[in-house]
Amino acid sequence: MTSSAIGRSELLYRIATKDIFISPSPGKREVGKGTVDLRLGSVFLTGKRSSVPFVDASDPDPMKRLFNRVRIGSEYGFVLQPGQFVLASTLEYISLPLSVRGQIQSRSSFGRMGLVSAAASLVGPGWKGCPTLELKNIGEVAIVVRPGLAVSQMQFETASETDTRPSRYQFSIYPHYALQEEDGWLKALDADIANGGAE
Amino acid sequence: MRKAASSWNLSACVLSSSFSYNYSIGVCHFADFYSLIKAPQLAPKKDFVVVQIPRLESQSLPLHAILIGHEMGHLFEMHAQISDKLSLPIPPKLGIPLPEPGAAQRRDTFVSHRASWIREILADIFSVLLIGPAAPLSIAELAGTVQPLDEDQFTHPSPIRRLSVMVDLLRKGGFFGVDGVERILGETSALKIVKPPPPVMGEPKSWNDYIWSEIVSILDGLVAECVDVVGASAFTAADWTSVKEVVDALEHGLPCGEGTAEGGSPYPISPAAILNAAWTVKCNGCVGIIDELQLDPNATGSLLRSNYILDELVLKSLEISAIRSR
Repeated sequence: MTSSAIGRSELLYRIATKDIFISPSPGKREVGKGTVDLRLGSVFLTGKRSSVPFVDASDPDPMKRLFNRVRIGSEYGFVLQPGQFVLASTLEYISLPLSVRGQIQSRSSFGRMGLVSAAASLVGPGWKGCPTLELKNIGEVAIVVRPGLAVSQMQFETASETDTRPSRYQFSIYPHYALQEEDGWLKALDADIANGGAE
Repeated sequence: MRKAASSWNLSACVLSSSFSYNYSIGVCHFADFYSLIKAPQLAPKKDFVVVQIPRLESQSLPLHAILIGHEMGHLFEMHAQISDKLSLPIPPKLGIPLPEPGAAQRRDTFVSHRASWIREILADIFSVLLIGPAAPLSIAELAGTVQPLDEDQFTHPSPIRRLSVMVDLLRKGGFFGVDGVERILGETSALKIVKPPPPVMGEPKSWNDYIWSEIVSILDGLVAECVDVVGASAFTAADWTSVKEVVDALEHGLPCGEGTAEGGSPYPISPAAILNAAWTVKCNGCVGIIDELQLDPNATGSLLRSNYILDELVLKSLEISAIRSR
């Protein structure tokens, strides 16, 4: 599989022709050298204290009980305390063609404040929706973020191989907690261990 | 809303959901609010709007055409005071016994009954003028869910009576000559049995029929007054071009809150166009979205999932339109 980064002029052309669909559409100022700035949406999923003692990474179903959903108006700020982790989404709805994938990154100015906004950052070819951002304050002081703030950016590259299967997070316009698909490997390993393993 | 209720504090608009299956819009007087919350520093100094939606439908965006159309129509009506200015005979002479008990109360009941129906019809007329075909489509869906289509209520004429006025207004507005409109209206089961409002003939058999015949006889005048009030905000048959442009986006799983002008600059798509596009996609069975999701078109779950996606896309479209309008 080969790929190459898409430069600014090609990116501007692809956005103008809606080959890469971004809405609200970015102005030229928001398109950098092969990147597009992404703004924060107004809905946040914040962690809450609950009776759930832990989350099993192979079965994250209890995740929905671990989050409160809050909507913040642009005139208000969301205070992200040191060490706090919240889920947000981009204001922009993005649709990628089957020949392009994207990579979300924190913008450096915000990274220097201690605000990290993307952990699971690959957006696959053909993806549609408002990507979920994983915001974490790794600094020493609280940071106020507001809807509309361009905290992230997406870098684009061409993809020579395509996978047309829709992602389970597709078409969402709000942040989404983890969904896990049934993992055949885990079941096979469980069965193998129950049968005494490979001894 | 700014045009309909310019003197109210629209920044303090309250939106709530309720377990009752009803959309409503009303005014909360700031003095009442003050006495309720006992917090003078929080009390708004102007009357403000309270909008209520059924909790079951809190995410059903195309259905919220009722809010932007019919309920907003009530605001227009309240401000223009069209029903208050009407002078109709009280009570009319008719060989039908009025409801019990006493004569004065009977008269009051009749007047209140008639005034309520007139207000609802005025709100329906405003809704068609404000949002076009999405108005009868949303009313047909809601009313068809909660009551028999031919059942009159004290506060509301039957859905069939109301829809007959709305569809007739669309016909007179030239919507039926526009490609696609007649088809989506024809595919809505509640609208298939709608006929234009009948002329007043003979003596009515009930008070409901009597009041309805009064309304039909003054309908043209009511429509003319509403047209004056709405003015340039009206959604006309010519605006359907913008609807056709954005239907394609929704069918492909994309929001449609902004368009692009020739020079490349973005402009907002009107909420009326977005809601009409959403109804067009809904009436087409969301086939494009089902295809995008690679779902089985014959499975019940596919329609539920695609309707959910449509709701989300409409919500995002309205948000983008609002951003572009600022």
